[in-house]
Amino acid sequence: MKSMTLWAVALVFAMAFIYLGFWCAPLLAYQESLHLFVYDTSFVGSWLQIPGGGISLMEEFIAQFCYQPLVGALIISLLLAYIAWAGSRLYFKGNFLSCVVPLLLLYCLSDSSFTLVPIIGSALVMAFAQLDRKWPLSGYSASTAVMLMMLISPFFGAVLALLLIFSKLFKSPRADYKEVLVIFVAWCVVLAVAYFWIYPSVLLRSLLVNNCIADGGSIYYCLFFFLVFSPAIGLPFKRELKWWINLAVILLGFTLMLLASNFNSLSRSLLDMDRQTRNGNWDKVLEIADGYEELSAQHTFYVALALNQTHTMGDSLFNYRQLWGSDVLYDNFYSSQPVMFRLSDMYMALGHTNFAYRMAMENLVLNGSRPSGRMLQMMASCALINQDFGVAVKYLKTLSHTLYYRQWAIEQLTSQNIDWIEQRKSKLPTINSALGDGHNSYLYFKLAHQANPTNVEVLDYLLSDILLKGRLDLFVAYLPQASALYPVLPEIYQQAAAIHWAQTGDDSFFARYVTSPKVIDTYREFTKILSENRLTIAQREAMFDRFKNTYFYYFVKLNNETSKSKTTTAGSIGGGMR
Amino acid sequence: MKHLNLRLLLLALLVVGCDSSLPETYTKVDRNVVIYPDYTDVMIPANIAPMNFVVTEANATDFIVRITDSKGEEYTFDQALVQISKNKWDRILAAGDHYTIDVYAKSRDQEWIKYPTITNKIASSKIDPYLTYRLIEPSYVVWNEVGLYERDLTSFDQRTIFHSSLTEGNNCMNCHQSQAGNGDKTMFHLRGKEGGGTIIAIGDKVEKIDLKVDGLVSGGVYPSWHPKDNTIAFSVNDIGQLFHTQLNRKVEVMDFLSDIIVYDVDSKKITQLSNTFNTLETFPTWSADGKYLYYCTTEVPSSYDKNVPERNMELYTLFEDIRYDLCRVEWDGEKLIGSVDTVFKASSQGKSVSFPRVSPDGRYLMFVLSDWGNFSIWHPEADLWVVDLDSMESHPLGRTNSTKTDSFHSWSNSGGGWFVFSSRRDDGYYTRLYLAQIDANGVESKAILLPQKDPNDNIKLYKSYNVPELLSTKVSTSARQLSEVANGSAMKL
Repeated sequence: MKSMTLWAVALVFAMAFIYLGFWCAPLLAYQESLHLFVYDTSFVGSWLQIPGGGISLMEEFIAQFCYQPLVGALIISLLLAYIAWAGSRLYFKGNFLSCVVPLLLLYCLSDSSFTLVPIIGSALVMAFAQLDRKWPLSGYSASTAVMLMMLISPFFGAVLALLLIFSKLFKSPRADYKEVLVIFVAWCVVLAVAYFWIYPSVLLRSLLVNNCIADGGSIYYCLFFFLVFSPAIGLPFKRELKWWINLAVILLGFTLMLLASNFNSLSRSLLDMDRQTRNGNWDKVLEIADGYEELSAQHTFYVALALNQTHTMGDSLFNYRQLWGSDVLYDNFYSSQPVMFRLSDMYMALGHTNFAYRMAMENLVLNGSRPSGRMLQMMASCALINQDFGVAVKYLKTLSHTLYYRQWAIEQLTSQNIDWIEQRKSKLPTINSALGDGHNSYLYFKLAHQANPTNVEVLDYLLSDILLKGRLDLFVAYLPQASALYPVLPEIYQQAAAIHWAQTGDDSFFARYVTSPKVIDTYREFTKILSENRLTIAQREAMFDRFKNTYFYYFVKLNNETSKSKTTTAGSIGGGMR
Repeated sequence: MKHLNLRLLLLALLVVGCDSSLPETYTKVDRNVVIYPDYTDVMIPANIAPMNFVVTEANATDFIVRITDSKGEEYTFDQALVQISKNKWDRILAAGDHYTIDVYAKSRDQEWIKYPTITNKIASSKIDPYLTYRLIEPSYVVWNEVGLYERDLTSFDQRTIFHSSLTEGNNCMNCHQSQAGNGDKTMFHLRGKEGGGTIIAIGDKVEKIDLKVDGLVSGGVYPSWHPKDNTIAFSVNDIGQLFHTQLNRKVEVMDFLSDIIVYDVDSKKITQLSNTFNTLETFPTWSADGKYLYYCTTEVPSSYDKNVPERNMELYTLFEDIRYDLCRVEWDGEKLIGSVDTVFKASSQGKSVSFPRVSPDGRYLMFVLSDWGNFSIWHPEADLWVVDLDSMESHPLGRTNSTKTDSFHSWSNSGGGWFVFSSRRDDGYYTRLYLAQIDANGVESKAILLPQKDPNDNIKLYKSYNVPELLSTKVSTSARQLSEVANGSAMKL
């Protein structure tokens, strides 16, 4: 039995580690960006003041290691393997059922909004159950375990109490009602003390479930049902199952978990883009995007930012299918943490530190007033660039007591490796503008451009936004400024200028802005095809393949979509796409 | 061996039990020691909690701090963090008049140095023993974990009056106030799409009222509880926000519309005191005797006389031109009577008034002066001013103010001229509470940061102290009592 337990546990560990460490690495990195562990007594003390704070503190501690996803995966996999091992020793005699809870936890973990609390809680519950099995002092060890667990987390205290009560009820050869009573009384006493004395301003509901409600859906509740009823569920298995049956069921369970998991390729790539954006790995972002024919709006947001930061937005924006119009360039603020992360990254990249700071702060609030290393680093960076040293020091002092941000924080506090601050300053707004809430992308980029007309990244965004809206009239107004900022006007802007020329016939305008022979040739070729009376499906497909990366194609398609019935503006460059 | 261990243990206990002695040799320096908070040359209330501090001399590694009370009793501490026990502190306060602080420090291989003695005065007057405030991040739009708290100023005890987690809709709350510092009569607003309303608690009777009735701009916003009657004046405001690109400013909170109403708690009747379109009135506050209502007012420079979106857009562009004056008008118990007096015409100085509050003895009116607008919390230039209501002369609180935002304030009801105010002087963003006094001669004191058990907690806390209100008695309603009412529906008027 012992050897079989070990290989089953090893299998759980290996599967979890490979899945988490290699497939879920972006997810673990995202989890880390929502957590912070500070090596400071007052930080620990502040957690312990709230119901369930003990287990949340453990979560913060473990989540910090997800900064390096392989390390995080290793720790989480060990916890899952431990749960399997303890379940096997206590209730399931080494059969596959001991892997059910770890697999359900693994499934829940694949949701980005899930937390590590249930994994830690389940592991602690199993640990206390093992202690009770080892030293069964007429229910007193069990009641002590329940009391301790209640202090760490009232929710898991209740789970442990139920588990122990069921283990006493289904005890062989007969139920021990005295022990059941002792456990129940211990649980009630601790609950009463917590409710009336320790947390007099907390509702009973909050006291019981604080920090332990997770978005795992029905699976999440099945998990606790299974955990609590483990003593009963394990009863029918008096004999060990054959090893190959166990192996087959565990592998089947793992496969089902993979199939049912919410963490598919698209959601993975999105979190991966977030991770690469956070680290400024713009080429990696584009590399991820290259793996997909069509991108979601969120993906396209990251792609646009990566193109912008690599100064290829004006040349390559339409190398990626623009299915979502200008909305993808700019997420208007709403209460979602991923949006706030990417907005603060974008504002920071564009030099709008006030706005980047705001998004990081709003994100902190939305995170249950719990700062994370990523948020604090963003706010400290903004404050350093803005020369708000007082508040920068506040954030840096906290970060200097963390594991992974310590070095960076100390460098900033001691003014080492701070060249990046000077580099950022050129992007800052030089004129004050004020923006109301509920604005759209154009208003934002226009304001940002007004605040610093020489910021070429902002101008790129503004022009791209205008072009994605199909507003050539606005584009032409900004063209002289763009022309002055670029040594050579990017191709997409030249293409848009060519369309404007086609509408106005202003040859001097054409000569000034359309200088690339490639653009001129493409334009001629495109208008020639458009002038055909009727295109066959094959011709349309060929046209798509040939011109999908050009603004000519996007512009004609946009106009045909928005105004099918009347003669479109696009008509003037060759009769429109039929 | 056993005996040796016992002796070592006894020796250790003896060392721990004794105060450290002062260094025998040291060099005196002229430079003042840096301590945080800056409790140097300050006046403190006679009932304040231990004024713990930390010596922040970065180069020093060893410290000895000696505190001597006015009767010559000495208390010695041997580390940078000076945490005075309640017992010792009570003896220092009981000795009265003043106490001194001597700081000795040394770097690892250097000799001891002694900094000039710090002398802090102990006032004969006490401050209100309770302080209520909201703890919230200096955020912009979203909220999550918000709570109203009550701090016992004679100790470090803090309890929750109410918390967003006690509501089903995780509602935000703001603008809490009590009647003349009486914790038996208190109110606050709950915000949110679901479950919003104004909670009014008088003794055990708690009600949730929906003050948004037809014809009003909004429900009640900035409150002022009449000092004698169960009447609360509110402003009603249509509020918007602007976000600055400029670095030294973050957000502009402005009103598009505002008027003043009075709510009679007993008869549940709302009386609208002003209903003017482009003239905005806000921040109502009663005089100490309840015979005058003070408020801030401005004429917005709008070309529109209807509430259309274009007007808001226009006002957004004119936010720097909106400046409020301080006015007052007589109140006869039911309505305003007589003409409007302008108490302080800030607009003529290119400034703007916000948050007027009259001292309980009726002698002073304190307000905040900023460059424009009414939400001075986000204005770094905002300072506290007072008007002497006898002479009607006004001046800034020079010794109390800082170069950063000094804003929302509340008078102590126990006399002595003590008040609390919020300030961003520590780091520019996170609001902390400061106590100060205007003495009988009208002289203001240097502000002292609200004492904490560990002063470093001020730096580690990621929330701002917001809307401080001093109370002479505890808020009598429990959080769970308030929760029951808060989760019910609001009474329609």
